[in-house]
Amino acid sequence: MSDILRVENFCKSFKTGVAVDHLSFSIPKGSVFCLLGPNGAGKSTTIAMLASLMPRDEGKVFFDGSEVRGRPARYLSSLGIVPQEIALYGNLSARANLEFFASLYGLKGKTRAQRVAAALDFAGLSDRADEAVDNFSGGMKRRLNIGCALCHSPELMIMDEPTVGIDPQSRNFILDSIRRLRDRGTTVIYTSHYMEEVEEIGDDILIMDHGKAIAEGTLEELKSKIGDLRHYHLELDAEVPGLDAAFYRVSGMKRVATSGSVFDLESLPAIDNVDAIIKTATSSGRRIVAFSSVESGLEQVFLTLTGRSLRD
Amino acid sequence: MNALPTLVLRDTRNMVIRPMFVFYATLFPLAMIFILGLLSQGFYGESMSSWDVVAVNLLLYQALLSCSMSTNSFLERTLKAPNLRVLFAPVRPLDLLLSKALASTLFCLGGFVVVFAILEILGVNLGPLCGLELFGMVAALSFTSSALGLWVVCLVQDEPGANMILNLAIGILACTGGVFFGIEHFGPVAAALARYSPFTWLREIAFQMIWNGGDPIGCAATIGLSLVAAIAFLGAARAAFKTEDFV
Repeated sequence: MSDILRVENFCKSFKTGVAVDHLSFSIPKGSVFCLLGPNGAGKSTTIAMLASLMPRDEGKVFFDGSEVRGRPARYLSSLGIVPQEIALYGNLSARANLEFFASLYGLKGKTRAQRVAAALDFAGLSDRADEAVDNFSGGMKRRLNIGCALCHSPELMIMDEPTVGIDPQSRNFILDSIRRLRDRGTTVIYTSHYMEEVEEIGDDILIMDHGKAIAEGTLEELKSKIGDLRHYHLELDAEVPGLDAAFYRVSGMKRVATSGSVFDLESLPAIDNVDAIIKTATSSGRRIVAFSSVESGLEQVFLTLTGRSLRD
Repeated sequence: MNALPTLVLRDTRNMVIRPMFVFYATLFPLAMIFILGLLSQGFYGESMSSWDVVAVNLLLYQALLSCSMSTNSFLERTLKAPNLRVLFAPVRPLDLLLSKALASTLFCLGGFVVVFAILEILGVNLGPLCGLELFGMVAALSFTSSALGLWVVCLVQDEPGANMILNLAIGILACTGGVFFGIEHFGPVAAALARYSPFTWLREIAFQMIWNGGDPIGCAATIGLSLVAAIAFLGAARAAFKTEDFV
């Protein structure tokens, strides 16, 4: 499959520090490409540079093989961008919002009416089309936010954390809509700090931290990077200074990540050290609130590669 | 494609549907003219009525206040995000700014049409041809003020902050220019301030138009200079408008 987008050596610094640091990736046509990372990892800055809203300090973007410089109309017309914020005119109806944003891409008359109807249908808002957006729930606004980005049938959809602050039902609707877009052949770039979402929809995943790409591949490829270590999650009723050092003394322990009274432990699989872990925890004088063995996932990948939890 | 007409139409509609804006563009100047005209009755002798003087002062003042419309239509809390979404489309950033300036000018002109018509009906002297020259002058000033508003809001990157600065500056300009009351009798410094205030010059030109049976040269010069200033402000606004600061 050919690449629809190729990013080479993206760099961006602000007065506060480096936001994106020599980031490179390419995205095959028709795939869902996920940028995963904690808040401040550089995902939104990367999106802003891709959307030609932010000049890059260094680096190149190639769309369909051609280099993108400035704000070329052909490139911008091929993008559908869903910003993190709800970017809709609240006093207008859903239909009026869609018509306005569609008209900016040169759509008019019957074509525009058809595309608007299709977008309303896609967002599940056909029955509320003429209602003011201010009356919508947060989830409905999020869905319309996506609808406004796909009226002009873009080849590449860029979605910047579209599920932030919404109910599970709307979240599922959005994740399902991404699958529907992929089935239509639309390429999707999806940024999130929710690893469950990324695991669910991502064909390719790029994990970012401090502006750098720390790993890239399919979910299976990323999991294979951390080998077959066994992961444990342990929570005590209070913080115990120095307990991480005690855990490191447990036989087979490879890594200990601490966040207050919560510990994420990685251990060699061949050694049965559960008893030793529990004994070490209880000998601290604190009570164990939770203890579980965790299946390998992106959280463990991130933990192994960075030494800290994605949620930190 | 040229998205400017679509943007101007959308921005103008966004203003028209706001009752507060409509009040501010129509009833507010009329109410101010009524109150100040009443309070200053007899101040200007037999040759001119207080209504004539106050109307000119407040129409010019109202034109200068157009900047608050453009700053609001650009970065008001609920409009900022959808306005910036426009830039995801193949739209030039300059068109986004220009649409705000044109829309706020059009909206203010709509208000001026209503105000001029009511003042004409009430017999206020706005000059020959139902105040056409004065209307041209306030239209040009309105455009300049709108462009100035955009420049300041692009620099400050905050709508309430920009409006505070602009209202303060225009308030000082209006007070030194004697919009509400003359300051000449407060001493030689105040008199000098009043004499050199740009607002005084604008008012003098307007009075020339009205009481000398028209002043096409003065009118054309004012409109021309206003438009040059508006273009300069728009250029400065475009230079100050860094899209990355707003995303």
